[in-house]
Amino acid sequence: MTENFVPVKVNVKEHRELFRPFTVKWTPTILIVDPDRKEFFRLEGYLPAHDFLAQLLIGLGRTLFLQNKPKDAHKFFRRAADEFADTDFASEAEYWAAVAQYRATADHKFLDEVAGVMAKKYPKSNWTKRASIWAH
Amino acid sequence: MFEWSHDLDSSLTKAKEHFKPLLIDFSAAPE
Repeated sequence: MTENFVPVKVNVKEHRELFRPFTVKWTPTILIVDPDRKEFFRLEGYLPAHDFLAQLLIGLGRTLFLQNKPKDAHKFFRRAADEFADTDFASEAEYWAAVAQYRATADHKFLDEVAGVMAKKYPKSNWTKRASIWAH
Repeated sequence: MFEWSHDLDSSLTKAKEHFKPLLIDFSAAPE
């Protein structure tokens, strides 16, 4: 994972001046930012390590997606959905994997297919509701 | 899990040099 980002931990009690520009109001808050401090992803609140890793993969995917690199983003979303299928975050990863594939190819079939897949795999997820607009 | 740095400025510089995003953990708990 560390090949994909530079990890830094800041204790807000000791370095209040560092977190103010990022509008952090709760701890822990995890941010993915670019070197110019532009924020791409935010996670607030504690998660167990396994779930945390799933969210980091989604966060990296979201960062690449927002940087107009949908093909690279798709790899992280796919990993999150496949390797962390037992977590609550798998449905979110599945949704964004399809969106990234669509953005990379302009082929609407990826959205059409994922709506059906998600209805079966994650019937109670709010991400399945979001994908339902593509169901036929 | 990771080798965390504790220096935001040097981490920003490192991120810029390696074209990588920065993962920042803002925490209040002592390590």
